[in-house]
Amino acid sequence: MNLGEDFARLFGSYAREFFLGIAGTLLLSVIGTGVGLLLGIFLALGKRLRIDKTDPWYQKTWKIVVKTLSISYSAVIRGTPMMVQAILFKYGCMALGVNWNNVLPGIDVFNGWMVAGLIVITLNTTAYMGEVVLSGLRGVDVGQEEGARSLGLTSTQTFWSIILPQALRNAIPTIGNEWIVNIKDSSVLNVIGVAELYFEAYMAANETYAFMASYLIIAVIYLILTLFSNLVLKVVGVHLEGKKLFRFRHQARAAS
Amino acid sequence: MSILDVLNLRKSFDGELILDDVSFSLEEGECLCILGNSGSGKSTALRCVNLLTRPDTGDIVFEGKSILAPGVNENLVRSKMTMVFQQFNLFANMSVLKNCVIAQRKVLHREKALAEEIARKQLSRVGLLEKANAFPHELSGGQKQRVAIARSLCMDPKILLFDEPTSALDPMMVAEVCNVMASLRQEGATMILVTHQLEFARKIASRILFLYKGKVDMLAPTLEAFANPTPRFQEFLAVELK
Repeated sequence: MNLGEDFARLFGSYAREFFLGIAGTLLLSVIGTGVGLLLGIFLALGKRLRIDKTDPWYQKTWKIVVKTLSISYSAVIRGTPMMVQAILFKYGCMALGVNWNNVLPGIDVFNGWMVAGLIVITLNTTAYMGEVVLSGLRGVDVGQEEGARSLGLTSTQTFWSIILPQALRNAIPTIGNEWIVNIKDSSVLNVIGVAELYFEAYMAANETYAFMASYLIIAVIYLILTLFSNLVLKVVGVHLEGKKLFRFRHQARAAS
Repeated sequence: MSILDVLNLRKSFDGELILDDVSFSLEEGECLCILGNSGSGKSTALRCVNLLTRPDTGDIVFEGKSILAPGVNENLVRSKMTMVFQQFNLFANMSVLKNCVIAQRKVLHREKALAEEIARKQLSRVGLLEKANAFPHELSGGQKQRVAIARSLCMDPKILLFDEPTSALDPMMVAEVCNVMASLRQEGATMILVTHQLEFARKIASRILFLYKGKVDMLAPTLEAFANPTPRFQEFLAVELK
């Protein structure tokens, strides 16, 4: 077996599959990161609920329920591998009578399993984004909230207009990092047959027996994708830094 | 009739009594200065008035109604007694103009054009109209505090609350902020001022409230307070003026 010949064969017959794999991987990482961030904001809200002694009992009850669920969700998802989560999701759905094989039947790549993969990676990223948003929120000066409340803004208005934008601005580098992690980690979704890059290489390798060549190709592709993503993040970062809005620094917290 | 009556406020944090039976009232057009050593409870008293802190017992009556009663719209009350902070607390993610507009839009539901017009008017009142599009991090401390005052004024508050507005400023900038407050005073604004600037308090205040370890030690018209101080206020003056 000659590595050079294998490469030639793969490029000749499997170029389309590899490109579909790239598309699948990018789709999973972008949707997973974006939607995960959005849901992560709500998870962070759940985790930071404050239960006051003065709250009426029904408020205390729902707050305790939501907070406990948020904390448990975050712990369970971050404490188990995504590969295991994916396979449990697959068989769990089957037990409930949902077979993703029968969702979007007849479609080659962006089929039911891709939908299942999108759900798994999004739910997984949500748990991590919850932490990212929480730490961003901790970085916002308490005075920002007091300033807003003292003018009569409600706590909801204060959160969405004043606190969250500053927290997200603080968290931009970490959010970008989550995206890059997702480009690589989406490969574990091959266990449920999601047609991403690793899955396509696996199929090509099994059909051609060009194992080394197939996996070398995707190793290079993964590297290019992550380097490229880093570049995108850097360009976006420089662009944002150029805007006054993103150049603010937080005032030191005064002891008063 | 007084616009604000603070009645027998008590507040403790972690078992430590910070406010102990504090009462005072405020007439319209009056400037009450709260003086006291650090930890005497003066900031806490002010924060109670703005409902940023809820007192354990006692009552606060604003325009004839208790603001601590259940069912009171706290946010509306806060918008009528706006607070200026030691650390400015300008919204870091918004331009100066947006800082002045956002609460008008969201709390008072003013039209955008009207809110911006009022914001510009108040910014020019504090002499910072040309900074309308700047961001807080581009301003000096004195400018930040003047913007914070303009932001408060945009809400048409009945009472202005100042919590050590000049304590975080360089001496040069203290004067520019004091000038703004003095001109507000001349225009008849009702205010409560917590400060360490004794000379300024003497100039601007109509009455002095001196807190000592959470208790009201003295509440008197300014002239009388300085001419005829209580022993503890005398002691405080001696240390502060040294």
